[in-house]
Amino acid sequence: MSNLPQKNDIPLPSDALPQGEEFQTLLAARNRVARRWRNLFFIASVIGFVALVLLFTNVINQTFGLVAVEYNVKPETLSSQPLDQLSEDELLTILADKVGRRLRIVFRDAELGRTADIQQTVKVLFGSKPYPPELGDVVYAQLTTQQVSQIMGLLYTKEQLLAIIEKDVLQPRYVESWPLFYSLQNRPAIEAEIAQKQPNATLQWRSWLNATFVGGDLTSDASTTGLRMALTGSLWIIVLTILISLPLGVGAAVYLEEYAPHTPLSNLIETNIRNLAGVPSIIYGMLGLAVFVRALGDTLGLTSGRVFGSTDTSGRSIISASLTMALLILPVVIINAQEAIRAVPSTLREASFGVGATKWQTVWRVVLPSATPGILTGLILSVSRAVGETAPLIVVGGLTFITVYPRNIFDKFTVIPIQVYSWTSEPTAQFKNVAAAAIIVLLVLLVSLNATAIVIRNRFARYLRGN
Amino acid sequence: MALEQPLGQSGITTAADRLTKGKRKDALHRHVRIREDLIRYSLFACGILSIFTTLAIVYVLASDGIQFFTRRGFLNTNQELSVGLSAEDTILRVNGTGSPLSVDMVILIGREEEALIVRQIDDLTFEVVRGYENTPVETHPEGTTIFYGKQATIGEFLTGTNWQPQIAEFGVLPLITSTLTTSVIALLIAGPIGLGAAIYLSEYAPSRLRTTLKPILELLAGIPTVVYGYFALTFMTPILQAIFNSPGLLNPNGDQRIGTYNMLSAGLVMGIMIIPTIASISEDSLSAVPSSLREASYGMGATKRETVFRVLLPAALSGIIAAFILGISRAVGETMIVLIAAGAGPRFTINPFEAAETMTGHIARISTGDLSFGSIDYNAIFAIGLTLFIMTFLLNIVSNIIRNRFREVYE
Repeated sequence: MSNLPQKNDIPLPSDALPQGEEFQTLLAARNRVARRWRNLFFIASVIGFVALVLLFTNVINQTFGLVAVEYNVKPETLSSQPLDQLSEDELLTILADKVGRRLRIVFRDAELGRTADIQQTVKVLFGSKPYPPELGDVVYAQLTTQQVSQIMGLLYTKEQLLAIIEKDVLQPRYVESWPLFYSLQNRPAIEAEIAQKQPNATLQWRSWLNATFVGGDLTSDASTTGLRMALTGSLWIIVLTILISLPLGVGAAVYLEEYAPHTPLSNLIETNIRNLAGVPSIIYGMLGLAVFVRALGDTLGLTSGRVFGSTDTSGRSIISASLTMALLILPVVIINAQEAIRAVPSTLREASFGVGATKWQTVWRVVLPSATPGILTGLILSVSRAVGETAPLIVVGGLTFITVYPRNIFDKFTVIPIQVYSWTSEPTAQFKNVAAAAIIVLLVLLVSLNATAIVIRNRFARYLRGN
Repeated sequence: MALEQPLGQSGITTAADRLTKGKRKDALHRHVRIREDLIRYSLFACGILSIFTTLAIVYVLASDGIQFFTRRGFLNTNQELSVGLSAEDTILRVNGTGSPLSVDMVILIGREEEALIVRQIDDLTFEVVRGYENTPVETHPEGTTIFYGKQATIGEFLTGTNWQPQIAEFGVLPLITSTLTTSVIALLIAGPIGLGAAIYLSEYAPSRLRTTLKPILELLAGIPTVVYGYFALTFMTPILQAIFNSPGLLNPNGDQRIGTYNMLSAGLVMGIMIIPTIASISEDSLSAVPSSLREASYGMGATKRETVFRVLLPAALSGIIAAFILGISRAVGETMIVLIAAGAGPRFTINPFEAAETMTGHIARISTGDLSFGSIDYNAIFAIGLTLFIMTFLLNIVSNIIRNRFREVYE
């Protein structure tokens, strides 16, 4: 700035503007202020990044860490060696030893589920699975502990046996847990605290995110609960929401871009779609509650499956939730699909009309194939928004403790974000760790959906170019 | 059809002629194609669905919400049945110690489902109509307490400062004040930060940094709100507690000022959540300012800061205001963060250190339990939902109007 011409042709009253030394001082001050604001603006734009880092760190911090475990039977009393160094046979002996006659029940729960009819023969119950042939005609309820242990030896790997021993013999209870960073820094303090407060407990590292958590059933205990039901529910709702919103959204977009005359009505539809995108999601939940749950479900029996012979007559079903979610993401799906269709060059359309194709033939054979990558990408991105939505599903009735896997679209459901909420609001501290583990699963699901969107876009783009 | 004339007159047989020979004279008029028409109509149906969705939202909120104003909450009269009431009895006898019953009063006996209406007064003996509004007739033993019904009115709904419809407190203000408190905190955070980020991205950032920072902001917008809620409860609240609860400059006596649930934590995290909204719309409006304005300002010897504050911000003001309004609307409609971190139970306060339930939080919490259709709570959440819908709808419309106006100026 200092090399700007100080004199120019326009005559200026020289006493009105600062000159020379004074000008330089003022300019330096102005530049200082400018730099300061530049730094402030920079900080503002980095705060988002900092928040993101803190958010992820917090989740990681809560997912891993030290836990104080109290065992029903201490692992060191079972064997002089660490359990995972024992052979399968030794594990089976320990199991038979400690569980005794209850082994039949333990095995039934682990293998056949609570519903199995134990008055049936081994042959019927195990069908395709390996079992000692001489036991085939014995009724399950009459098997001896020895025989059960024999079948378990044939069916289970060492890891599975270890899991059963942990669940039914050791029965660990996590009496206290510490976040990762605190555990790393203050281990001696934690040890001292344990020794004083819980002399029976032992200190262990634990990852709350593990295979038994992701694949396990929902229980009311933080140390055994699992995410599989919520995962199943989320997947059901993703698939149904896509099936409902894809045709409706693309249909609306095609109408608005290719067919709609420039009338007040189509303007109204356009404006309305943009306004709908701004309606709070919980309002959609209330719409779902009043229309899909109450009117179509409770009153008419459609979404509760009553008219189709389903016995569970509550309208708080997967289909109600999916319909609600479809309506919620529809505006965004339409807007994205419109953009994708608009991006198709009009020369393609004109060429199609030129060879005598009708409007629909042009749309179906020319416009939609070219717009597909854009439409699918937009759809998946809006679905991934729906996957994280919690409030509308709470209102529609997803916050119930369910014990049965959803088998059809009329069943009750729960989804991952609802479990995150319900675990977060539990008073027991360990549920916060469980919630953090569930958040990681949710984020992984979202990232993979987004990755799918990117892959689809690239694939189709290459495919279309290839043609 | 102008085209038809020359085609018909010339001796050359065109393709169109061959196709239509002997069928219809006006060959180039539109064919009736049933399939095409059906498709057209079903596509139109898809398009019109959005209108139906809006109508359904308005209808559902209005009909179930307005029904709220026909419903009663019940208050204790401190009167008891002096003689038990069998299912056939129409004569009610009370002990007469509490607030008196009057004609046409709707009463409950001992919180049972049956509503009764009082008809005729004879001191402590009344004639009652049983099973009012199709409620099931029940028997009531001697000594049961009697409750009297008080109807919700729009006036009380909008001005009352207590919300507990079950016991006839119908004021929605506690829910509104907490909604506004959290939203204002969120805007105080997201406004300056979002705008600052927008200015940096559009005016200062070198293009490589820009391509890194923008996706990060968008990532922030893609995080599920329940995760933000978790963040508020397990990260923000402990930090706020450490700052404000421990003895120090801010708190000489070390009072317990912030509990586990408070509006401040929810508001702050909600602010982080709406940074991307404000940043992206503000950035759009900043980049829509013609570069001639920038160049003119630099030509005058203005520094970058002076250009930003004196030229760009005034020029992009409408877009920035629109972004702020949209940000508020997002904050008002946000549910999970306030449900998790702001606390349960309506409280008439604007003190951000206190716990108080917002409109969205209340709706979600009430519908969490086994909410029975047609109960007063069911109607109450729709009345709140209607209020919420009107608020956000107005905010969105105002934001759109302002944004469109600024577009007209520069495009």
